[in-house]
Order: sequence, then structure tokens, then C-alpha cells
Amino acid sequence: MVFPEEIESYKLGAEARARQNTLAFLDKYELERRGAEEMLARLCPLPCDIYYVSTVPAGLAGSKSDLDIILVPPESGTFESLSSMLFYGGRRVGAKIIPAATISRALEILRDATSSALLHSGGDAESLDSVIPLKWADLERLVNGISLTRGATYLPALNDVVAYAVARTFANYRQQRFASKLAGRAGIDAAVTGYLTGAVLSAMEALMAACGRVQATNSKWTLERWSRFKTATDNSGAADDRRIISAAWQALSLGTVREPANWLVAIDQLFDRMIGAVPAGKSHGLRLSSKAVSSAFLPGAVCIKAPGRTVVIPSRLMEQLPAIDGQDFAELSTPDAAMLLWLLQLELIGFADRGGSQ
Amino acid sequence: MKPETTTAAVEDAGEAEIAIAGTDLAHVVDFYWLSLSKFQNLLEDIEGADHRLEYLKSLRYQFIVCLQEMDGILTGGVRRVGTLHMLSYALQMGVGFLGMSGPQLAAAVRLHDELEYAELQDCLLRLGKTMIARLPGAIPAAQGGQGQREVLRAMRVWSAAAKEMGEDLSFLASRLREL
Repeated sequence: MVFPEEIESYKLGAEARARQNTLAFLDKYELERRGAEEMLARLCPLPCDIYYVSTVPAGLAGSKSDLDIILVPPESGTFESLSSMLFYGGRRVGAKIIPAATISRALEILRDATSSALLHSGGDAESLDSVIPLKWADLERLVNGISLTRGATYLPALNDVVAYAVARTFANYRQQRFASKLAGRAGIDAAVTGYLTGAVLSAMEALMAACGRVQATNSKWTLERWSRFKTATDNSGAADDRRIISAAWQALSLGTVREPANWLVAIDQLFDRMIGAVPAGKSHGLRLSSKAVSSAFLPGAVCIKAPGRTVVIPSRLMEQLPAIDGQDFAELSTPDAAMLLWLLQLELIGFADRGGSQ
Repeated sequence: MKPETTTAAVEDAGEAEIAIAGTDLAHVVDFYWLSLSKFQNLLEDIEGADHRLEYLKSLRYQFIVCLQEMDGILTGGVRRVGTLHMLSYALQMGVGFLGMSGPQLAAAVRLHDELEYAELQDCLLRLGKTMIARLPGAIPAAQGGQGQREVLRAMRVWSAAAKEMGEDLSFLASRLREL
């Protein structure tokens, strides 16, 4: 599922890199550390540790980047959201307070989930979101963040965060691939291009995560991070996978490949190696969305309603839903595939594991 | 699979102001909110991309997704798609409020062209700033102290409009917190 030797190699230098990147950023943009930290400390009603998070320790921050901070008081408490209008040295500051106890609890839950193999079935990340008392983005930021006094306190949890990240990106990849095949069946090339773009970007995130380079929130950094991503050695399995995904991206960017192409099959196989092949009877299918309700409308027509939208479709299509197999959609006509794609885009229907629940 | 694209329609769109129409005031205000926050943030990111071409290419996807999100909010129900689908839907259907088809949108952002950094940055900034200029009204940028004062002023005006029109804009409080 992951590349342990890559993760360990990455972890070895992670704290030094985060510290160096943060100090270089403060220096380059003439932000005085002591002044900044005094101002930040005053935002928290309790004594706290100050963690630089997100693009600054990652070495991605530029001239217009925010200075993102998490303030960690050792004591629990209820803290109000901090103002979104904070500035230091003319630069916007994004700050929030998260008590140490909340972080510990979140990491504990995540550790239990990874050790019980909950995340190893390749798609249960969303169920974890509801029980972890921290947003996924904050968890990643803390693990990759640095306090210039305490160091990279949460870095030891990287392996658990990696498992979480791989499961999340795999779920995204799988859904984008499914939709690309459906769009292909519907004959909508522009949508195929869009979904394949999303799928390959997810594959990049998954491989980087599997090698320890986790980033949670913003896909705007994916390509830049990918261009900097080097595996520890050039002849490892991770290096081979990196070459496959790069080739896929190059082919997609040139717009010259029709689906299904060899490189997409190769990426599917790559995920099979990372996650384990999807068990028999558990391939993706379609079902009515959890946000939607359906009701008979006229003979041969059914009405589906979700917040903000209501549609009427042929009832035979609804009856067909449970039997649809996301492998090739051979059973669907082109117009039916187009209609299903539209319902999927509107989130009136959603993805389901055939033979399972989701 | 390279889509056929044309820049002619994009150039024809010119710089004339466009009317913004939604099903109710809340949709229109939410559209403007995205214009002054997320979209302006994106333009700032593009301006500050610091010669990183790959970063800029990712921002180009965000640019498309943001236009789709704005279009979906404005038109409500049947063009408002899930996050997973925004890029694909935009390339498929285009951006309604700009009168742009999917291929026109792809051409406008030079999606299938290999561009140098400066060319791509110029293309996206020109397109984005033209779009902002075409929207009725002076749209503040939410960044910076001055911009945020202007945003608060706009919110007060919208609240007054909502009161007169009997609409509820309470969602703006959460938008402001997320800013």
C-alpha cells in the first residue's frame, strides 16, 4: 500500500527541511520572527506553541502566500474562531487554535484505524472523517508543520496520516475513473478529458502520499509538488510508478490518447498494487444518492428530488441502477449513459460498491 | 482526443458588461461573493506564481473549476454539480454566464497548448480581469485591509437590499467567517 523505505527516507530530513524553509521564508520577506510570534501568541488566551503550517514549511510559499499558523495550547478549552482579517508585515495571517488534547485524540483514533486495517480496504477514509475530532486538512498541516521552539512534534504520526491520505486519494481516483468510463460510453470527449485529468492528478497525490509527501487541501499545488517529487532511488517500485504516472500525464496533456489506453490500465494496476485489487463483487456501481428521494411520477417515469433540484427520468433507468457494472458499461446505450452521467454530476445518484454498502 | 477549439467566440465576447441573472437575490449575492473572494484570490495566486509553471498549470484548472462553481451557483439546481465533476462539467458544458461553450472555455485558457510561463500567466490574468470588469459594479478584492473594508460595505448594502426584497442572506455570516 505504501513505500516504507521512501517514507523513512523522507522523514529523516523532514524536520530540518521544514525549519529551513520557514526561516528562509521569514528572512526573504523580511518578517521578523520574534515580532510575529509575539503577535500570534496574543491571539490565544492561554500560553501556546506556535506551529508554522502549510506552504511555508513545505517550501512552496511565494510572494503572495498567507502565513498559516496553528496555535496549540496544552490545556483543553473552547476557543472562538480567530478573525480572518489578521495581517503581519503586510501579509495575511491564517491562524487557528487547536488544543493539544484534541490533536492527541485525533491521532489516537487514526492510529487505531490504521492498525485495525480499516483504511486498507481502499475507500473507508470518508467514514473516518466523521469520527476524527480534527479536520483532515488540519491533521496534515500539523504533521508537516513546525514549531521553531519545539520542532516537528507531530511528524511521528506521518505513517498513519499516509494511510489516511492514500485511502482518500484512491477513493477520488476510483470515482474519477468510473466517471471517465461512463462519459466515454456517453461519447462526451470533453468530459472524458476532465475526468481523466482528475484521475491522473489523484494518482499523483496518491503516489506522493504513499512516499510520505502528504498534502491535504489544495490541488493547486499538485503539479508543482509532482515536478519536485523525487524518489529515494531511481530503481525502486515507487520510481517505476512515478514514471508511469508522468507518462500518463504527458499523454493526457498532449491530448493524443483515446481511452482505454495502455497507460490508464497501467495506473489501474499501480493502484491494485498499492491498495489491493478491488474484491470480486465490490466493483463500483451506482445508486440513488443519500441526499435524494425518488417517487413514482407517471407510468414509466420516476421523479428524483434532492435539495435544489428535481428531475423526471424513465423508470427503467432507475430499475437498471443496481445492475450497472462500472467496468465498461457495455449494457448501457449511449443516451442512457449520458443521462446517468448527468444524474451523477447533479449528485442525484452516487457511487456504490456493488455487493457492499457505501 | 484533443478537442476542437476556437478562440474566435472568446474574442468576440469583447469587454461589454453582462447582466447577471439568478433565481433569487441569494444566488446572485453568492455569485458576487465568489467573485470577490475565491476568484480574486485565484487571480492573486496567478499574479504571485513566482515563475513556477507547474503551479500555474494547476491554477488554470482551479480557474476553470471556479468559473463552473460561480455558474452553478447563479443558475441553481440543474447546473450545480458536485465538486468531483466541476472540471469535467465545465469542459463539457462551458460557462453560461459568460456565454462560453466548453470548447470555447478550453480555448480561452489555452488548455491544450504548451505555453511558456509568461504567456500562460498573461492569458489567465487577462481573461480573469476582463471577466471581473464585465460584471456590473465595482467588485472589491477581499485581500488586504482596504479590500476587506469594501467587502463589509458591500455586505451592508446587500443586507439592505435583502430586507427590501424580503430575502434572507444569513448565509453570508458563515461566508465571512470562512474568508
